Amino acid sequence: MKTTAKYAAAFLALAAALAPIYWLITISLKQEIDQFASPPLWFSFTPTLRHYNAIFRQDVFGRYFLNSVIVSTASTLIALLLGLPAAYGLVRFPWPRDWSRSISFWILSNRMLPPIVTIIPLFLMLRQIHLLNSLTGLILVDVALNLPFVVWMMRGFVEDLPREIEEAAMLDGVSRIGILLRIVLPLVRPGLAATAVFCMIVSWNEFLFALILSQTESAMTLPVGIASHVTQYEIQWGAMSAAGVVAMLPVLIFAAAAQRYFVRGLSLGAIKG
Amino acid sequence: MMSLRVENITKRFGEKHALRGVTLEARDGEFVVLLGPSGCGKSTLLRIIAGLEEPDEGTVVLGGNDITRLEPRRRDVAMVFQGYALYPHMTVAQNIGFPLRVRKRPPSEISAEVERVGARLSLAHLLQNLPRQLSGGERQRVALARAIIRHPKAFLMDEPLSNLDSRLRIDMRAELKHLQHELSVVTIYVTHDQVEAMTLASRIAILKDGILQQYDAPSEVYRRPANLFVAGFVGSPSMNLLPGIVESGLFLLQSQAEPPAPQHHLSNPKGGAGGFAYQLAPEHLAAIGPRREITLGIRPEHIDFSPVPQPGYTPARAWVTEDLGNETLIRLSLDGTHITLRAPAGTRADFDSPAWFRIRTENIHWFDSQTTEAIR
Repeated sequence: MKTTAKYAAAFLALAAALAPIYWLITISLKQEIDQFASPPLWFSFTPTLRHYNAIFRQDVFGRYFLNSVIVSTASTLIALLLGLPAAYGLVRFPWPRDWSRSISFWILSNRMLPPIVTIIPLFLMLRQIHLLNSLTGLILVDVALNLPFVVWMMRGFVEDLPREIEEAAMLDGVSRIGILLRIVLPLVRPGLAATAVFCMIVSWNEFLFALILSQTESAMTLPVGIASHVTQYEIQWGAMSAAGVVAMLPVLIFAAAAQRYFVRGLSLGAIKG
Repeated sequence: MMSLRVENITKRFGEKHALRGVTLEARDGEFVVLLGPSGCGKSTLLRIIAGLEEPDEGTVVLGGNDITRLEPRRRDVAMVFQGYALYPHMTVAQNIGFPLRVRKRPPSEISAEVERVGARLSLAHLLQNLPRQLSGGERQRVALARAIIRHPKAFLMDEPLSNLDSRLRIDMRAELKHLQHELSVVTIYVTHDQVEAMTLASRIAILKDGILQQYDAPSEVYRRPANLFVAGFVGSPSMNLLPGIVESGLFLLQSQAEPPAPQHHLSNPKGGAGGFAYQLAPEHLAAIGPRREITLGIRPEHIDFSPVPQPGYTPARAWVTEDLGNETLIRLSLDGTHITLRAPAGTRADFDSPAWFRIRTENIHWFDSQTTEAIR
């Protein structure tokens, strides 16, 4: 393919990917009158920060934002805390026959179920243990959602570590737990960072469980909060878009900060499935 | 008295036997080399001593204590790996000091010890570097430093020099041998390189297919190989092994080009297609006894070469001459059978020119071709 054609194709793909984001940002800056002007106003409109003002003046928006931060951070940390040792054990312990593979596959199979199938049992279970409308309940559900991914990603990274290094540590007098903390953990850090970014994003954007399992403002996360701008009588496009832009920012910042690890981590993991 | 003994060690991986009933003892301060081709079980034996593998049967005894079921970290042995196995995220100083940090020694003592060991292995200027900034030889020395810093009861080394280029390997070999002498700690060293084994070992244990073939001092292994395998494996160039038949007091060589039927030999007892007949001395005949198929073993340095016919010499053809500078290796062809001999430097023999050789009777080794055992 010629270079021009390549660039044209890349530009098209980029435009397709960025157009909705551009649209979201412009709507959040437009007056109501301009939002659905026909033909659409791409560049020439009078920007306003009114919608941003509006959302930040609502107390609930801060609440949603904080809830999202708590849920995604806690669920990511817990998923990593449980997932890395699990992956290490699956890779390194002497399992009889192909148990390691079978268990790994079972863990992965949890992700094959359409989430909507589990929503009613989850609702009933959380109600039983009084964790409906609570951040703890949402955190638990998000951990369950992310754990299979963490285990599978980290399995690949642990497999890539030379076994000799761990054996050297064993002979140097380190226990299994010590090897995990002093040898494996520092060496899989790039992979761990990439996995963490992914978990954060999944959890931050998670909508279905949050919608059903948190009905009160005190436990609602951002995506649910934003959707609540669609009311019975009107759709508050401006406020919704402004909230959407604000919700996007942490993920963008986080991904940009961890980009170095992200690319390296994902490609490392790709060598061994 | 810190001796190391393995008794009757057997290890299977699935159906395959990696080790079968291996027993050997290393005395205090001894340098024992496990030698054998790849897949002979030598690394498995080392890993069993280290505790990285568990034997199916047998025991490992270190300093009088049975350590067979002990975790590696409780055995107090140090190991140097083929790939060095340095901790990539730690500096050289941190790598060397790691075993002491694990043992919670005071930091001041650790840094003093690291300085001392680092200086001993000429690493003083590299202490703040990361392993990836070092050359192969430097990494090797870091691995050694990490092993010696905590004064273990035994050193285990798994082909530690095999990743180095050949010149460095020879230097490190000498360095290692002297270091081991200084520390005088029992050392088990695995290699497939017989020169390395000969130069380093106080005793060599030769393994093949998981079975211990011979366990003896290098000179004994060289001078009195226990069987055909040891005879062919130890020594470079290796011993000439010429299979043949005993026939009315004569050893008749079986030509590799056209293996003669036994009847052929009966009708042609002197020479013929085999091209080589050797009058067996009475003491040889007594040792050989009723055996019929035997193998003559002769080292290249125990064959004399002559470019002209001489009494007592057998005619052959020069096949290839290799001038090594300090000596010349000549490969003769005797009706398709190749015989290698060492001749003085400067000896010349053209391709396919006639050549004569004589085997020194007193240096002949006889082997039973069927059992492969040496006949003594």
